[in-house]
Parts: sequence; C-alpha cells; structure tokens
Amino acid sequence: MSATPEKESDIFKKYLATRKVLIADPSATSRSGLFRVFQDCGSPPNSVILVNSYGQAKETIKNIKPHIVITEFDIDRRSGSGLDLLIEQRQQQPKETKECLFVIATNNTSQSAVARAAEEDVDAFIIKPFTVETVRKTLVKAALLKLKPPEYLLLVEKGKEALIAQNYDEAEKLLEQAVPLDPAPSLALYYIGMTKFARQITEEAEGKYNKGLDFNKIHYKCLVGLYELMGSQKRHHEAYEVVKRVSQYFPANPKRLSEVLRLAIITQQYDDVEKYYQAFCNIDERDDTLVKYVCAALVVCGKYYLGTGARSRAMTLFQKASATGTGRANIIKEIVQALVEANLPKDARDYQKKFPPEFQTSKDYQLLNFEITNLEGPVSAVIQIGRELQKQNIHSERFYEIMIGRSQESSLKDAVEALAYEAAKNYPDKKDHFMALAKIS
Amino acid sequence: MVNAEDVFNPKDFKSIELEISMKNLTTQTEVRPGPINTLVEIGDKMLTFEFPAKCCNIKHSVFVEIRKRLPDETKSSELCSLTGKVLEAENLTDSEMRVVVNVVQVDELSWNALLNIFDSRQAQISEFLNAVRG
Repeated sequence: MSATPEKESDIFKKYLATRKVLIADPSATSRSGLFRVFQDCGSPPNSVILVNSYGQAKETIKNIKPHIVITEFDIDRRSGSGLDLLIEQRQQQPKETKECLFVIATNNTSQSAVARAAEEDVDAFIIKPFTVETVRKTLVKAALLKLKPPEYLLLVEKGKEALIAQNYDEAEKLLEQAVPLDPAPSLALYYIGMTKFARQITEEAEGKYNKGLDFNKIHYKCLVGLYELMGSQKRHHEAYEVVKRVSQYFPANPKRLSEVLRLAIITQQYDDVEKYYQAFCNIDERDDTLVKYVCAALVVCGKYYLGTGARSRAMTLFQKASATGTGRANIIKEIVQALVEANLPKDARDYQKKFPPEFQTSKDYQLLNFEITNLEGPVSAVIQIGRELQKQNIHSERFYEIMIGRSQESSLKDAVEALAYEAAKNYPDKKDHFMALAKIS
Repeated sequence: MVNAEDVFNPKDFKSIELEISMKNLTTQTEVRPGPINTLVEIGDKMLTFEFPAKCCNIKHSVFVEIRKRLPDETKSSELCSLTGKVLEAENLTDSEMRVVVNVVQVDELSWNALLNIFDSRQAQISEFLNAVRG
C-alpha cells in the first residue's frame, strides 16, 4: 500500500533531518530558491551548503560528503558539468550511493542534456524556471524510491548483487521472481540477459534484451546490452543499427558517437557519415570531443574515396574536415599523409600550408615536407633535404625507405649502405627489411 | 530501420529559450533582452527574475514581456506579457540583481501558456527518465 501524501512528506522530513545537502548553482537566485524549498521540507538550516562554482562543489563533495547534491547541469562549461559532480559523489561515497540523491536543476532543457543525465542514472531532473511545488514533489518522489523501493526493485537489486558476486543461479532465481511484479520489467530482463551473457549463453541473453525492449523500446540498459553482445560477436551491421537506435534516443554522448562513426565506417556506410556531418553543422554548441570524432570520420571517409578513385568526393570531405578542425594539426597531418599516399603532391602541398605556425618546425611537419618533395622534386633535392634531416636526427621508417631508394637511383653505394645500417639501428625490428632494400646480404 | 538524419538531430541539442524584456514604468527605463535576463522561479502569480543590476527597486511598476523559442523554431514568438509590482529587489553583483515581481495584470491564457510550456517539458523529461530506468 502506498503512503498517504502526509506520510510521504513526514518520511522525507525525517530523511532530511540527518542529511547534508549541497546546492551548486552559479545563479544566486536559483540557490536561494532551492534553499527555501529544502528549508520548507524540513532541512536544518546549517545542513544546507550553497556554492556557486564547480570547483567549490567538488571540494565540498570531497570534504563534507553531502548526501543530497542538487546542481545546475551547465555549472561551469570549462571546468566540468553537473554530471561530473555525480561521478565525484559516487567516488567519494560508493557505499552510501543507495542513500544519496543526485538531482539536476537546470536551464538546459535540451534532449541531449536529459539523455546524458538519464545515462548517468541521476535521481531527478528539474527544469528552470521551476515552481516550489515541482521541486518539492520531485525530491520527495526520488527520496521515497530510495528509502522505500517497491518489491520489484528490491529483488532486482538483490539479483544484481548476486550477479556481481558471480552467483548466477541465485541471480537468475531472484530476477525471475521480479519479472511478474512489474508490468514492464525491462530492468529485470536486462540483468537476466547479463547473467546469461556472463554464462556465455549468448542466444538467450539476446532474447532477454529483446524481450526487455519489447516492453520498453528506449530501455537504455537493454539497448546497450544488445549492442555490446553484437559487438562481441563482430556482428557489425546489426550492432550499427542498434547503436543508431541508442543515439537516436540518447544523443550527444561523445563515446557513443565515436562508436556510431566507427561502425558506419566498418560497415562502409559512408553516406551516413556525410549526413552526420550535415547535421553536426547545425549544432551551435560543439563539444571538442565531438569535433575530433567528426573530423576523424571525415578523413577516414576521404581516404576511402581516394582509394576508390573518387578524388573529387574525397577532396570535398578533406575540405570539410580541415574547415571543421581548424587549427588541429593532427587532422591536417592525416589529410596530407593520405594525399601523399595517393601520389597527389600538389594537393598535399596545399594542405601543408594549413598547418598552424607552431607546428611548422615540428619533426612531423619536416618529414611530411620531405615526403612531398620526394613526389614532386628532383632526386638531388630529395637527398639534400634528407641529409639535413639526418643531421637533426629526424627520421621515420618511410624516411629511410625513400632515402635508400633515392640513393640507389643516384648510384650512391656507400650512402645506401650507411643508411641501411643507420635505419636498422634506429628500427631494429625492421633490420631485415632495410637490409633487403639496400641489397645487403 | 533508423535514418542517419534521425540519429544526429541538431534539435536535440537545443533548449527552450526565453527572451525577456522589462520596462520600468516608474523610472521609464527599459531592459532589453540579454543573457542576464533570466526567469528562475514561477510562483502563484509571482515571478523571480535575474536582471541587470540597478534596473528597478521595490514598489516600482514594471511591464515584462516574455517571448519563447522552441528547439524546432527559428524565430521567437510572444509567450506572456504582464504588468506587476516589484516585491523584492536585491543586487547580487555589480552586474546582476534578483527581482521578484508580483503579477498585477496578465492575460490568463498567456499566463497558462507560460506555466504549461515548462510543466509539459518537465512531464516529458520525468516520463523519459522513468522509461529509461524501466
């Protein structure tokens, strides 16, 4: 039987009486509004700590160890998000996590923020502007779920503990008992799937995840379980379809986006990568990691098209990657390298000019310059630049391959031998390769 | 089958945006929409804002216009206009102040629209979180 509203507020008041609360929000108005709600609900005034920055919040979690944290999602874009504080709280109080509450109260109403919060399993997500009643109801509901969980959740929790302890028979028994207690028991089915997977009964595991998704098509854990199972069996096409579904409901997780792009490339869905790029261009707030993954995927696609002879399509993708990753030397480096490999020295030179000035004295830059010269310049120029690099002890395997070949062309027998021995000394595992190139037996 | 365009939907990265302007009818000064202007709390015919510092004082009469822009909209549209009295005015920093406005006159339909836009998004979010947990 559920508790009456009066009893619920009494339970919450009792819970608050011995709990420390942290309110972390850059807005003083929000902090005071939330503080008032906690006071009205029964928090002793000296048990509520108010801070305005990520750094202060992190310190407070470390030193004071609050039981309840309520934070702005975008507390500080440079230092960390509200969700980073959740990770901090779990690290500081791993045993008390079941009793702790973590709540986001934010102006950020975007689906990407909500999904990130859902993935991290926050206890509640309150949007601003808030009403006192919404905050109160949300907090009470979240606290009661922790203090008086229904039988279904208790059994799932016990089953999960048995699974972690590798007591698989007990885990399955408890989780099967939980299934009929909830009209949509996706969580229980997920943990049964996990248990089957741990026992390497993968077909049944897949069946359980799918059954969980029949009840609830956006059940995050079931989707991820299914994706990981397919990934472990290298069923890339099916895994790609699942991870696309996950990304549809849970956007903006950089780790998963990288998976989507990786699988798009493995399964050769290059058109999809170009579509992702078009959508990416419409996003105002571009996360640094997101930019990195998108650029990398564009370069990989470009390389693929170069390999198939679709040069103009490849060049378009390289242009997009270079424009998106302005100032990122590693992206330019990848493009130049691809163009060198495709024997396109003029295009490689054009991209070489895009390197940021501070990179133009680097070892990588000079080696790329050497490789381009090798494609376009006379042998004498290649050998001259190569010798200058040798003096600076700048080299790579490819450098020695080129220098040995070019020296042979110029009949510089002593130089060929010296280069082969030097290469073998610097790259001992490739000794046989260099000796064969130099025709030294 | 899921379309790639659905997977990476730019609308998912956008919030409901409010553009808030305020005219201080007592001093005949105006606060145009800007990043400081924020609606923090909605109460019973009471709104708590953050506005640029020194824009009003207790007992001043104000006219507030709130415009909304949803994630799938490119232009803002009028959400709610009201006149009210400043109940509380507190300078928070050199640039910001907290202002509590007691709503004196407002069109009931637009007031309800203001309440509903956030109530319905809050309900959607809570439903999503529950579904995800299962």
